[in-house]
Amino acid sequence: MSNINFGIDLGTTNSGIGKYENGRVQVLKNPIGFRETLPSVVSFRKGRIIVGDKAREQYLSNAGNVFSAFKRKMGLNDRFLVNNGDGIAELSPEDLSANVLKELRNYVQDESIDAAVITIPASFDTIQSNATKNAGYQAGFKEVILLQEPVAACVAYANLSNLDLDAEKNWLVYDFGGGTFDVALVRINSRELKVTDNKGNNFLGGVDIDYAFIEKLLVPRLVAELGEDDLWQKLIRKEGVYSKLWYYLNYVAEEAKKQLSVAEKTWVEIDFPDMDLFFETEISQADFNEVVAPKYRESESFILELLKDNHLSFADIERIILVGGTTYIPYIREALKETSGTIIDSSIDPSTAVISGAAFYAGSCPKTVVEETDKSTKYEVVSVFDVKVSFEAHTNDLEELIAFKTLSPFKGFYRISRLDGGYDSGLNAFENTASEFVALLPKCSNGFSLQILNEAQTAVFNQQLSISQGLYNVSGQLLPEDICIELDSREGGTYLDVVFKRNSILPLSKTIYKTFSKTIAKNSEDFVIINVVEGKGGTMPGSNLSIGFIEISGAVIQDDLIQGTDIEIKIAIDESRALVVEVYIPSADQELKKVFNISKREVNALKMIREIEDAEQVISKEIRDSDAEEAYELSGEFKLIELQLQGIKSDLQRIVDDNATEEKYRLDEQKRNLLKKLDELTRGRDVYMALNKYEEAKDYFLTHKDQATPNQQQRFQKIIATEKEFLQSNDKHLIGRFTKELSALNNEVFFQNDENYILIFLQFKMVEPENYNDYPKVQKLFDQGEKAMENRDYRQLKHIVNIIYSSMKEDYRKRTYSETPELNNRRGTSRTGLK
Amino acid sequence: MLNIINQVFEIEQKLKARGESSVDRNLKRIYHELDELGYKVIDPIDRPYKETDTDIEASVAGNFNDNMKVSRVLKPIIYRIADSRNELLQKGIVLVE
Repeated sequence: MSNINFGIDLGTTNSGIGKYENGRVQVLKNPIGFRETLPSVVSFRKGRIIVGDKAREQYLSNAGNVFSAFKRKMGLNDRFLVNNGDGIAELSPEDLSANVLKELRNYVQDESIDAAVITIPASFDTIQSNATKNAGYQAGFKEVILLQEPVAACVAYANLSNLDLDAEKNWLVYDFGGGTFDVALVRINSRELKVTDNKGNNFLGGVDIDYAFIEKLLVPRLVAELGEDDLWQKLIRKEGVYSKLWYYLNYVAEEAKKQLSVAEKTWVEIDFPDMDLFFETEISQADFNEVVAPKYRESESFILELLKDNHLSFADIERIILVGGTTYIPYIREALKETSGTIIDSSIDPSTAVISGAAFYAGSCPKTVVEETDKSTKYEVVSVFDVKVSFEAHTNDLEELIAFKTLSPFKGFYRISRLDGGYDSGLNAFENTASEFVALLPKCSNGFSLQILNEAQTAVFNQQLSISQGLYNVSGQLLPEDICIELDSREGGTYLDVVFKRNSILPLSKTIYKTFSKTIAKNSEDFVIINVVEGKGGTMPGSNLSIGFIEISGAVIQDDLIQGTDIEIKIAIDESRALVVEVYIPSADQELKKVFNISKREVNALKMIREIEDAEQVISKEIRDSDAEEAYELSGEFKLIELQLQGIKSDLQRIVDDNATEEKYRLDEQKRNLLKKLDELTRGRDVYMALNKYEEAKDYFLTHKDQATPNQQQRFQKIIATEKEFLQSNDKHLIGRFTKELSALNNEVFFQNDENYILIFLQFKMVEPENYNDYPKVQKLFDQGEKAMENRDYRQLKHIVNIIYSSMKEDYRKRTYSETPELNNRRGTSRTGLK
Repeated sequence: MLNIINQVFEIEQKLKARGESSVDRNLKRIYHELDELGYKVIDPIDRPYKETDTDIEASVAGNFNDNMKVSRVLKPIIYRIADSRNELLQKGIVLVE
């Protein structure tokens, strides 16, 4: 038989759930919003039930439909009138508590939970305790064990601290929450924990300190600024603009309190344009303490009364345990320590101490109920009926409809949540069919969970579905080819960098940031080219269609363009496929804009000639290589392409200044076809080689993973996470870029171990003398290196290796260490002027 | 990182309020770089208030009605976008009227 293992703090202001597993307790996070605590607030609106943060938001403005602090009414005959969509219903405090408990049950995603320990205040009488138990049963628990909150807190502290509990001790549990204050006297020994007495105030909490902060520290300064003596009254009446100011000041107070918990002073900025109000003021910890002190003294009076009633003094109290978010305030801890002179224990998080204690206790309580699902701890939602779900998987809208119906009659609830935590429909009444508009996060894939629950709010159907926003759209206009920009490659030629991927939905707009790879002097004849190309990313630039071409020459720039400085290029394509390229050069503060109508192809004869010249270089190398391998047929194909390209080149040279005829368009078409053919002949092999290099680099890292720092391992994982996309891209430059990143990482891993310099040193010794600039000097360095090795002085060896490296002749260095970016700052000839 | 993003957002809000646009490009660039790092920063200003939007934490001023909108954003919404799963890192802190 298993133990209960789940503990719940059902609080007046906030609640939470924890799980005991293998001697440890984990406070579970809300899958919506990822917080550990859930505001104990429930709202009912138009058939929708919402529990937690979103319900709390409406508490003041929509009071008729939102309920909180119902714990204070547990066991009373009070009823809350609720519009549940079907009409007006009467709900008891137990019913509302059951809603909170059901929401907490939802935190447990992958296993069944049919029993729990639920905490109650030490002051709860039998009726209130039984009402809490009933709420638990109503929430679907088959077994509920109650535990007093101060006992839970002590259990948490006792279990998490190695305390010597041989002798009997008295502890005080000081619980200062958001809305309530309780103090309990607990007797503890090695065998048991018992609450002997308690006192408290249901209307004293952190919120009173927040209000006092505004009233005593902010309002007087605002009065001086605004000259409105009755500002505080206006604020608490929350009329008109003062309502907005009130909430703004709450935010300001919250931020200031955070600052004052770590700093002596903080500057508070009031920026409220609605009342033309802007000023700054300094608030010190001493100011804040003056605000907290009266509230603390109020709480202290309860402690003194409790001790007096039990004929005890602080000397009889072994420690005071802190519970509740308000105990984070440093003044409270210090004042408590000063007053009591005893240990103030804040070793675990006061805001979740009761949850932890309840879960620890649950871990020791055997379940008595017989459960059908006990055989398997995994919770599988069994679909008891067929559900038909329809939705648009790809959309360009920011909201999408999810419709669903059961194929057999069914009545209960449904709930749709976005997996990132940014959307939650809440619980909605459901009968056979329903639909819901869900909000989408733009330009990404949105995961949702659709749950259908029976009338007891137990899930009977669960489906995950995904809707892509702005990525693909079957009904929208798709981009038929990649849109790329041509950039200088490290090897000296150019390559295509993809700006918009094929199948993206029009219209599209993106700003990219590049750097100048050469300097262009003002008024010089040199230029930078921005060439926007439609085609396949990763193919030869010249084999694709140029759809936008801007030449920025020295004649048009207002200032020199300096190598290494930035250029901002905004590329936009509308639904009618008009291309707009906007260029901004920050260093010169210059803007250029050009609109291209793609129906009118723009080609530049000189650029075409340059492209052919680039291709000729590739072809001559290919011919050499194929001849060497005796692949004469292949060599023949390259020679044919070369010949045809030469013909086009000479035709182009004739018509450089011809803007009247369509001859250059005809030549462009021919050139593109030939380059495409050349690309097809070489690309497969290049991609294969790029893939091999990537795999080698990846293997290297994996074999040396143990030597990598956590940060380096994280960077490695980041690259690996995206590898599927670039490995399938068929783009050698893209693969090469990631290989370069991996190689740089491998180098870092290699060089961070000083001992690895032995290997490099030995390699350097094998290098032929003619590859060094000053060999006699290098020989001396070799001797020094040998000594450093003997003495195991690897730091010294590292230093020597670096000097030897810099003594190598540059061309040899480039040839041999081109894959070591840190060692070789290799740079190709600039073609576009951009990289 | 969240603190840096919040400060950038606050600077942007202040400049906007003063009608200052000379650093718009720099701010855009910062958001672009954040985007590249996987941080999606969303300003929900003027967004109609919906109780299903769990990515904002709203203070609702005035009487509740169906036409309420986000009128002031004190902290933006921040998501971390990843291939495997997107994650809400910070809820937007807003005033709604």
